Amino acid sequence: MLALFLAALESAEDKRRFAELYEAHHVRMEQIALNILRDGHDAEEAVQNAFLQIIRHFEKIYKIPCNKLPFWIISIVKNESLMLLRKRKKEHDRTVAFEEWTPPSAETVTDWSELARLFAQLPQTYRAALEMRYLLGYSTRDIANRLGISENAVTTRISRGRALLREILEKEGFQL
Amino acid sequence: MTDQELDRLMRRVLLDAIELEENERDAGEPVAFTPSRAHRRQMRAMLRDPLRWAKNKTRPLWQKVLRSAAVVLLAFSVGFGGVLAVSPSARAAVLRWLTTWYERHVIYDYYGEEQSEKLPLYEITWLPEGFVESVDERIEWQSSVHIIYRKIGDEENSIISMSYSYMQDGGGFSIGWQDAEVRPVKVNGMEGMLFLEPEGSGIMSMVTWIDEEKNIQFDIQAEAGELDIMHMAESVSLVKMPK
Repeated sequence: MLALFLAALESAEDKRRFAELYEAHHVRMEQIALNILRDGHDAEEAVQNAFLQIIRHFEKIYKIPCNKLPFWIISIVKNESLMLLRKRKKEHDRTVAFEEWTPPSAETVTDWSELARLFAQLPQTYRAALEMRYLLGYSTRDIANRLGISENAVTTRISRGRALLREILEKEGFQL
Repeated sequence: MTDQELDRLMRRVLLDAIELEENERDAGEPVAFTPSRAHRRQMRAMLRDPLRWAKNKTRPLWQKVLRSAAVVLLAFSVGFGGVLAVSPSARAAVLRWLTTWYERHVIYDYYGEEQSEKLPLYEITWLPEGFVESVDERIEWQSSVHIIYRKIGDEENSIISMSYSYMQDGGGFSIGWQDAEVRPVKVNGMEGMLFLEPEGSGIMSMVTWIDEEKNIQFDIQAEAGELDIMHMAESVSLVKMPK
């Protein structure tokens, strides 16, 4: 794993870009981590872990549209914070179990903004599994370890997310 | 719709969902975040060299504790037939250790006689201000001792470690470093090596030396400059002889 990411971020241009990314986003990252964790030291750990992930996946920043890069970074720090929160065993009352979630009716979603809103409202661990898979490319096992759920549960979340998206996108009248 | 198209749209909708939340969040008074000194130092090290910082962060726990001047007590099974074509007793009298240098690590192979006596107890008698021994972390084995010193109430969780061991045949000692300046030193007249990491790198420096008379190799690791680490080394004193 390390050998792979050593290939990126070696050039002066990459390092300059990384420094710019830090300057542009570290304040928001710190706020997000602190909002979730409510503890300064934990927030620092989450932010450092997030930067570690950014370094590991640095080649992805060249594939993400510039105007979407802040949200990719937010996804990383949010999920690192949630993972730490789970570790600290403070999340009992925050996690919505997958089984308790009833997918909304695809009929109510008629355009892209409503679709984005629907995905913004997915339960945390459900959405985290999708983000880790589609935004960071984690394996099922990695996601399971990070979220503290079984690999089967990860697969179920991802396939249900895909099914929901496909159903909405393919239904008659939906405006992409 | 193909799977690839669905994947692409999934990425897009996930990013747009985050954007939506960001646009709708209460942009009022932000939560006050005051970074600690340790965090600021980490960020400085990260910006100086992201890859190296990441590499240090992902080290195994034992390496994190011992940091770059990692000390590993190795249970070597050294085949010494090819090393010296002399009898074991002659070899023990002549050669008690052999060092092999590599680009970023050195291995000390021990050839000394086996010691039946338990190691004497040594301690650092001069420590930088605020450091005290973390008694619960002391490890005393027959042929090696490890002592950790911590700074009380230090948010950076700084440590100083000292260890020493008999140079018995079959044992060994390995030291690895990053960008250390490596040079020979004398500690109370005994031959040693200093591995001085750049100041502010967040990596521990190390000094090791050999007491030939006692057949013991010592090492001290600390995130400290040359003066302090050498001062500590020279202050190491015998506090208890074995019973």
